Amino acid sequence: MTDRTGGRFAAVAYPVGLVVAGLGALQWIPLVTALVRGEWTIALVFLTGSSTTILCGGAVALAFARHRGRKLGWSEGMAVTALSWFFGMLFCALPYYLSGGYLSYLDACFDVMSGLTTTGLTLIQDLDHVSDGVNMWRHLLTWLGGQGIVVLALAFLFKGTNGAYKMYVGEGKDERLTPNVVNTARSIWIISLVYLGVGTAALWGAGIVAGLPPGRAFLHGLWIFMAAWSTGGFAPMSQNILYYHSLVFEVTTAVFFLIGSFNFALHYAVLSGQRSEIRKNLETVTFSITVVVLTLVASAGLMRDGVYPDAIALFRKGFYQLISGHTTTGFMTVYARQFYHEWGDLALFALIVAMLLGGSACSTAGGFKALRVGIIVKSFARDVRKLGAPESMVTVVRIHHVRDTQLDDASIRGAMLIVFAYIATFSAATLAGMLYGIPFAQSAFESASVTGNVGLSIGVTAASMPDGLKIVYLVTMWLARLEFLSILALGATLLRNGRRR
Amino acid sequence: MKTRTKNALLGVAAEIGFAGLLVLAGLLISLFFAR
Repeated sequence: MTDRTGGRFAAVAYPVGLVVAGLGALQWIPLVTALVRGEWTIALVFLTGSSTTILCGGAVALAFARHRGRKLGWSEGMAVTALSWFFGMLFCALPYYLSGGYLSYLDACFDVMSGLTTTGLTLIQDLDHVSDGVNMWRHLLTWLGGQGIVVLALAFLFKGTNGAYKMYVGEGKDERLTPNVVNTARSIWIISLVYLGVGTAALWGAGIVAGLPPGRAFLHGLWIFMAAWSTGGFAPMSQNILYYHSLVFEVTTAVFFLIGSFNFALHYAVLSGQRSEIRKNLETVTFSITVVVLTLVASAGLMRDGVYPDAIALFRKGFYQLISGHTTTGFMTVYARQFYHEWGDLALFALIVAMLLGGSACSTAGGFKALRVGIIVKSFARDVRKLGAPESMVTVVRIHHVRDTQLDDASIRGAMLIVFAYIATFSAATLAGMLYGIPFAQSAFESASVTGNVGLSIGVTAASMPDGLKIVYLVTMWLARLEFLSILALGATLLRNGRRR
Repeated sequence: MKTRTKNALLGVAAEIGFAGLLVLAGLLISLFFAR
């Protein structure tokens, strides 16, 4: 290994070690939960997981601590993010596996990646009897993943801002809420903590209304809020949101996962007093239009096929699944196989499109993102207008996203490239499913769910599916959540280093 | 009440209101199709 390569590795190793050690420290939360609930074996599991993770991450960080002042380039900054997620997954899976809830370490890794990427697909065994400690860890992981584990580290662990913006961009968030990226990371966490209080209180109340005992309603409210805000989709019961059989609970979760799918820059503007931003922003306008259009298509399909008998059933099953998919949350009020046996092609088509479109950029949501869809539609409209205008005419298109900006070719190209990458990944995952013998429609549905980090399932994702397909889905979730660039940058760095040797 | 706290509370209310409107739109569409 050349000096240059070695120096680059050392510069990347220190922050990755620190992030991993931080994830080990976070295991104290489920550890305390297990102790409070008297789950002694599970407490021991988290003590083992936490100690191992802190020791390994801390040892790497200490070994390379003298390189912490080194300036990180774009490829190194992005590699830090990609590697933090990869090693974070390996270590966070340890308590899952030791708890005995998974058939293999791969299944445990799948669930960690599903949680961190806010996808919400799960391979856990006997979810209805899982301990409170493990449930706390599942929902904590999805909550942390929504904000971003590197964003968390930037907000609370790293001193200084060297390479911070590159790591931040590597995590699929490219908007600064404040000029300083560390303050941006802290603002993201403050907004999330404000909503944690509001949302948990609301869902606690909704849980009591649904008939849960107050103590249980609090834990369920906290966990479901964490999953809703992160557009994650995990729930403590195997029937997901259907378990509660409550319209109040469903509407409350819908409100919070819709808010969770909004851009953090929008949250920051609205919570700072710019409340009109919510109706002027290109992203919220685009999102509202696609929600309405796709709800019309799905409802038309469901009613044509006579799937639901009345308006309330259509609202609680059809609309709920659609916005759950569109916000990339993945909460369900139907059983997975009902999509296949009952829903019909038109409604499934609307749901697949909704899952691919996704929520907002710089949010907890996945998918193409409404901002990119809005930019592409605006640029398309501009080009159509140009066709009918004199050749000498210069067309300027303005968009409003927090502030007024002129739509330039670089933004359009950037939006199109990411959308293209999503479509290519979706196609590849669909093809992989078909190679494993899954019919086209089911494979397309499940791969739209993993590519959009959604979590709705048509029944393909199960512990019994082939290991190869689990790995394909796991990598797809990772690629899509980090919006491709950091993992491609990591791949390019590894290739370059390999050639130099 | 401090202006920052007031803005934050009104902002949370505005976002909940906007999300509520989207949910209401879904209910109205469901009512329309189930007539």
